[in-house]
Amino acid sequence: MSSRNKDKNSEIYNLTLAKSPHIEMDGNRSFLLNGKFTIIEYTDQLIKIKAEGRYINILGDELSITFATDTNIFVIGNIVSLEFN
Amino acid sequence: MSLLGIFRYLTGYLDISISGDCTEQFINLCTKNNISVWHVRKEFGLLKIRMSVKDYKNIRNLKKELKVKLKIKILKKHGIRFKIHKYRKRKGIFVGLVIFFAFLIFMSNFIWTIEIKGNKTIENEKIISVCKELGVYEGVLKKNVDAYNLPLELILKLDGIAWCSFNIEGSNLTVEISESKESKKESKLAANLVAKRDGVIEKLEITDGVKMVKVGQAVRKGDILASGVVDNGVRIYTVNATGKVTAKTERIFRFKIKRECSFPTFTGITKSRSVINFFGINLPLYLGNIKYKSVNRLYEKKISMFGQTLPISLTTKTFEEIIEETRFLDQNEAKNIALELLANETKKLELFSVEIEDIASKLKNDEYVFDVMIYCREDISEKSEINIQNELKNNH
Repeated sequence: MSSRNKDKNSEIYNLTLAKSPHIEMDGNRSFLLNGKFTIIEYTDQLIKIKAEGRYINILGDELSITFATDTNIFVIGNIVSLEFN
Repeated sequence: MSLLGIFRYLTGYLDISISGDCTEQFINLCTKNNISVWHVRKEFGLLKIRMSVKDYKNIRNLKKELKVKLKIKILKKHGIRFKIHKYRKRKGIFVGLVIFFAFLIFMSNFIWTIEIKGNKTIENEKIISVCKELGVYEGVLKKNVDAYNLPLELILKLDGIAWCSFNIEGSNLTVEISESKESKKESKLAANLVAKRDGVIEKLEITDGVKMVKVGQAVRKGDILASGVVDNGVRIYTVNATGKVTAKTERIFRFKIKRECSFPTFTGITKSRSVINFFGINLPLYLGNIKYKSVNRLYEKKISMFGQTLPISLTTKTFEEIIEETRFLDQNEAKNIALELLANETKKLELFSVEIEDIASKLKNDEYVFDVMIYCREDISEKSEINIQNELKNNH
């Protein structure tokens, strides 16, 4: 692979990373989102988050937000499904 | 509690409830303004969150930015600042705290305890008393302890110390000692083992020298038991004869016991008096004196905390009332006392297998006189130095 192509690929990769939220999950018990977000809806069964233009629906039982900062949100509970719209 | 939890407790945080439509917008408002919230939960339609006090003050101003109307209510306040605020009118607590810390700082200038380390043969009490002579004792100001020169003075004052150091850790002074190892100078002089008493030999344990007697043999005082002159057929040389010679001996003890004797009798009345000792100052915890004649027992309890002995001790004296009864002893009672005295005497002289052969008693000048004859076992050996020049003269 030429060095020009290599630079181009890493540039695309960085752009993709920067624009998409980073998500980490520990089984179905916790959900961590890194990136700018807005909470659209919050109930025990559903937490709807908008992050970087995408909508993420966390569905489950006894859902609660352990902490929320300007770039992080950590949700715990019995997560049943995760939807991306 | 995590480090973050401790930090939050110190700075203070609030449990708040948000009610109204679209309560989620409140969380968004917080996150957009770089305000952290935690422990977010929804209970009965109310959004409950936790946030720091500082952030809460900011959010009240930012609330106007919201398009919806939300009602914010403080549910609970957490943190040390609220505890202090609660007791702000109780001046005594703050005064007490100030006094406590001032006292702590003041007390930290003194030596509370003295610990002795490294001594094997020299007693602690002896070292402590010499330290006291040098001006180092419990309750002395730390700055008065010259940790450089005083150990040298201690070495000079107390025999048997090769090295010494004073280490002050907090309010504890550790006196570390290294005792001088004096080589046991066994007498190299030639010596015989001789009998110091008359007796019949029962056991011979000669470790050096030539046996001159046999088991069962009767010896008189001064007889040689083991000779320090050894002839091995090639040459004659001298040794320091050593060993133990157990013999059956005869002894007579005389005990004089007065006929009129006073005996203490306990009445059963006891009173306790406690004293708190603080840096050598005794603070009595009682009023009045003990008026009756008594014997007392002493109990001292040193107070320690976290394995560290504090300079405070509680001494309790128990006074037991006694009445002295004077009466005349009969012969049997006097004999029992004489036997007790005999037991003490034999113990002191290291006599064993004591057999009482005869007890003769008589009353003379209002006192009983007991002559007790006993047979016993004891080590009768003692060293007698050999005068080689005399020996040579005798041989020639």
